[in-house]
Amino acid sequence: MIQNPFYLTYGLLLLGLLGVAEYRGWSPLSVSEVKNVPKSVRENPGVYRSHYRGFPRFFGGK
Amino acid sequence: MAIVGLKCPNCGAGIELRGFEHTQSVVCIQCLAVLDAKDPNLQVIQQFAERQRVQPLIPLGTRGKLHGDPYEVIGFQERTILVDGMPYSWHEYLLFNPFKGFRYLTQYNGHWNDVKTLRETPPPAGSKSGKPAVSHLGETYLHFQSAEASTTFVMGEFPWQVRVGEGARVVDYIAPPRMLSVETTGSEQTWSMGEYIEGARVWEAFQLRGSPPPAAGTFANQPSPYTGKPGTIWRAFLGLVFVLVALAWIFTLWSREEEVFRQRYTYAPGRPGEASFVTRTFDLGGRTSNVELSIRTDLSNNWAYFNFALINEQTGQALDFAREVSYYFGRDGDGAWNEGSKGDRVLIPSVPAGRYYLRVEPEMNPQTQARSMSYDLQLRRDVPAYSYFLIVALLLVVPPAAVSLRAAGFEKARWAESDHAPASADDSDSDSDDGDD
Repeated sequence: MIQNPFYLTYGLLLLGLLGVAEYRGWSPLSVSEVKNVPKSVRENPGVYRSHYRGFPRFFGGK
Repeated sequence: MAIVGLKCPNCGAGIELRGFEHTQSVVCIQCLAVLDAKDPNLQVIQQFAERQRVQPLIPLGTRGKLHGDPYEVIGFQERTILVDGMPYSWHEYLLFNPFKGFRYLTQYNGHWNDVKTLRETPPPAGSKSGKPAVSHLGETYLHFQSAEASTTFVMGEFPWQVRVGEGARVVDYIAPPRMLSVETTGSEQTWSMGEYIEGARVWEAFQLRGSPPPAAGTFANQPSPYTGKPGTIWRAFLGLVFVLVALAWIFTLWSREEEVFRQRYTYAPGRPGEASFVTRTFDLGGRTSNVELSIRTDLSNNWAYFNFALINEQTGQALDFAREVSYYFGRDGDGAWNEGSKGDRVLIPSVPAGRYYLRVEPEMNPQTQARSMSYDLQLRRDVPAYSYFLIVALLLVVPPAAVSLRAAGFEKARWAESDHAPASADDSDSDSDDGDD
């Protein structure tokens, strides 16, 4: 391993990144963070509107 | 070294003999006539008909140090082989040291070899990979090329009766960085061993001005810059994969994978009123980590779209995202088909600990004939993402694979110029990287 310091560094960086990603629970999912959601959502869910609402839909099928 | 001064009987130019009694023939530098050095009157053996001179890169008379011993360049010749009717020429410099004898420097396309004749005949060593082999000092040399070579230009002194047009059968065997060559002229066989030497080292040894011509292509016994590298990098890869597997094992054992919520719902697209709803609250414990959301539906030739918001009851912070689930199937001329899936699974990234609820807003095509869709929602805390391990394994394999491919490419380029060229490289034989010592 010592004979390949660049590869070793590259490999250890990848493994380190993997460890952090697993520990912190990283995910490629696109998530929008919304602050101060009104507490009234619990009683009236319609007062909150999703960022993703109204996006084009896939109608699928062959 | 002492120099004996004589005159060329052909043109009257001064002739210098540096090789003492070893010199059998000498070529006049002015008129290029080949003279018999053993004859007191330097009888002309051969006159040079063509006046096309070849300029040696190391001038005759240049002195330098090789292997710690002083040598002087006393002879120069150009030799040529024909491959598919194409001439390929290389240059040979004859070096002399009165105490060490002769050695040669050969040069082809910027590739140099330091050559010494052998006293012994290397014995045959069977064949390897279909290539005949010989053995020398415990090393196996594989056959590279056989060719008829002829001398096309000579200059200086030689310890044999040199002549332009002189032919010899040359057979090369290689064990990079070394090469064994056998030259057969009539019944006489001469074996020599060459070792690849960088042009810069030749320039340094002979204190030449400027820089050597750049090496072009891949030479027969050129040492591969990848020698030993594939083995060491693959060993390093195995070590890193071992660490990767250990990490996967650690995270599998360590992850909570705790189910925090599970509920079954029904959605009817045509029903009037608000479609969105919120779930009961649930606790996400432990450190900041992911949350896995699984959706399982009973969709049939339909799609559903879910707007989700994972809302922290205490802070009012929401993580907003959407998922689409669709499942279609049928039968056509090609037979049965299906596409999509009735379920979905996604990891919500880096969710801090706290008390949460999920806002869900399902959508379906309002024109759909389906009356309703049933679906399950399940949330699990701290789930290992095995896809990352697979991605890292793939990224780890890239450098060793690249080194192996490049090493194989170098060897392919080497053997493409040999008599054992791979079938796909047959057409590239006319490239300019051919040569012999």
